[in-house]
Amino acid sequence: MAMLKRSSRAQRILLPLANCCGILLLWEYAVLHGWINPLSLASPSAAVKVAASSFGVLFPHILATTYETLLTFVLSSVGGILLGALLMHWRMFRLAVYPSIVMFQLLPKIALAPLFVVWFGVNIVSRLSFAGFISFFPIVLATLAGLRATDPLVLKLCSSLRASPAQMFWQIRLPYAVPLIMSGLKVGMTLAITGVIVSEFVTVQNGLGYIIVLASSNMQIDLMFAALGWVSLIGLVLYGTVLLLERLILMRLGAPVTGALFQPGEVVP
Amino acid sequence: MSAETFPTGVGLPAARRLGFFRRHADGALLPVGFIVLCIAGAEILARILAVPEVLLPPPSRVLTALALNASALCYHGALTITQVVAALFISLAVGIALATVFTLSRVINDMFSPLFVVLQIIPKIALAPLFVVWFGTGAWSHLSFAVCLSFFPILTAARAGFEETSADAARLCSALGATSWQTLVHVKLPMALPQLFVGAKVSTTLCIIGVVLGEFVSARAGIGWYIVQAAALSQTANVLASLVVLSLFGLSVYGAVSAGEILVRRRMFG
Repeated sequence: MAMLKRSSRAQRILLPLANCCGILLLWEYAVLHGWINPLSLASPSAAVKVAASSFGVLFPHILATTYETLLTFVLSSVGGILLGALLMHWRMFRLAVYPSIVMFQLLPKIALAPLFVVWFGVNIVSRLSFAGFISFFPIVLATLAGLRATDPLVLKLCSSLRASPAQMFWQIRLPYAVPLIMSGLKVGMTLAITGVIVSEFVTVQNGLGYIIVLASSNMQIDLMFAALGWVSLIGLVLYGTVLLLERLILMRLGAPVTGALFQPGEVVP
Repeated sequence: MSAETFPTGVGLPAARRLGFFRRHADGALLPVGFIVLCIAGAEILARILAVPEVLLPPPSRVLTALALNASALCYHGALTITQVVAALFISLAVGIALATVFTLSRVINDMFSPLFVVLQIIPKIALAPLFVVWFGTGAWSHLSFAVCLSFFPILTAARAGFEETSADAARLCSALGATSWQTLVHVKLPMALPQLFVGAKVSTTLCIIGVVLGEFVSARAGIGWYIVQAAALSQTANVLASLVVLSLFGLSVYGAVSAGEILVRRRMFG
């Protein structure tokens, strides 16, 4: 098989852009000419128009979703990193709990969403705890894996130089763990917004998830696309922020920054 | 500890018995003990503090609910699991097909792979109601939503697998005059199998999430529908019972994929 040539940088940037424009134009044209029922797929221009005209209505919901996602992310990353560090240091606890956490990852935890409404009611506490519950465990596992991935030779050197356990943790283990922790945080951020949206579907109180469900039941497909656009934008911006943070910390530490935007293991719903 | 975990001590020196315990303490006893402790703790807590059953039904009550609603759970569970398995196979087909196209054509790869990356980062779960608008409230809507969530890990895995094919093998194939298609089917695909199983394992969980979430948003049957109904009636024990069923499903599908992986590995690598 002939090896495919590596494409040039321009090709790798221009082609997707042209492709995007092409898809949007085709979509617009198809809806305009009635090839697609506008009741099932709003044209991009209609969605943008609605997004602009209903911005005043959408704004509080955009704010609510962003706020809840950020709060969830902060809480579950602080908690997750702390628990990960605890698991590393306390061997018995790790041996007892680690298999359960790994198995827990395989279960469809999203199915618990209605239960959080029963437990906490229709309010922000219910949404935050559900989203936290979804996004917490990957961060714990990533932190633990990172903290245990330290080069054993370095650890041996440090202990022979009589480094204290605290020094070993702060100056050796934690910096070594940064790439994996950040990878966990990226998954955590995506899961935080996923959890918030699902919770908004179930609590039907406010947020963009609520708008999407409402628009879907009213068959306001253009409003729905506007809300979906906002959700995607928030998701991308928040993910981009974590990505930026990762690059900054890695650069600060002088670690090599890989070109990959995300690892295969970071795939989430 | 039960008699099963402790060997019958007759004739065994005490030190060796302790050794047996030590050997198994790390591997199995501690995790199992932890789970048992959690369940027992929930049972005792629920009973002593007389927590209302809506908030925390004791595990024994969940078991009773499981037995009482066995027929309903089986009916809805069978619907859901059929969709999950179908979604997994469709995702495999879609993921491998897309990866094939991406491998064969650099231009298509350049055109679409950034789009898929963006699609991957945005919370696709928000699309669930859209599938209801498109496909109604039936199985098709849940199935297509689940496929939309879960084909991506397979696509990533298949691409990684195709790229991993050794350059020597590819060169040998082209020297022997194999077409790209032949190389793909006879060399790259088998060599990508280990990676594909990694992707399939991630997809399994996503398939279950997709189907159940689809059923949450709109359905007339299925475990997700059952959970929403039970939660609306504050029957927490029933919610937990259906979660037990769902978890068992999830673990067995995952187990089946893992078993397939082991089989393939044995056949391929001895």
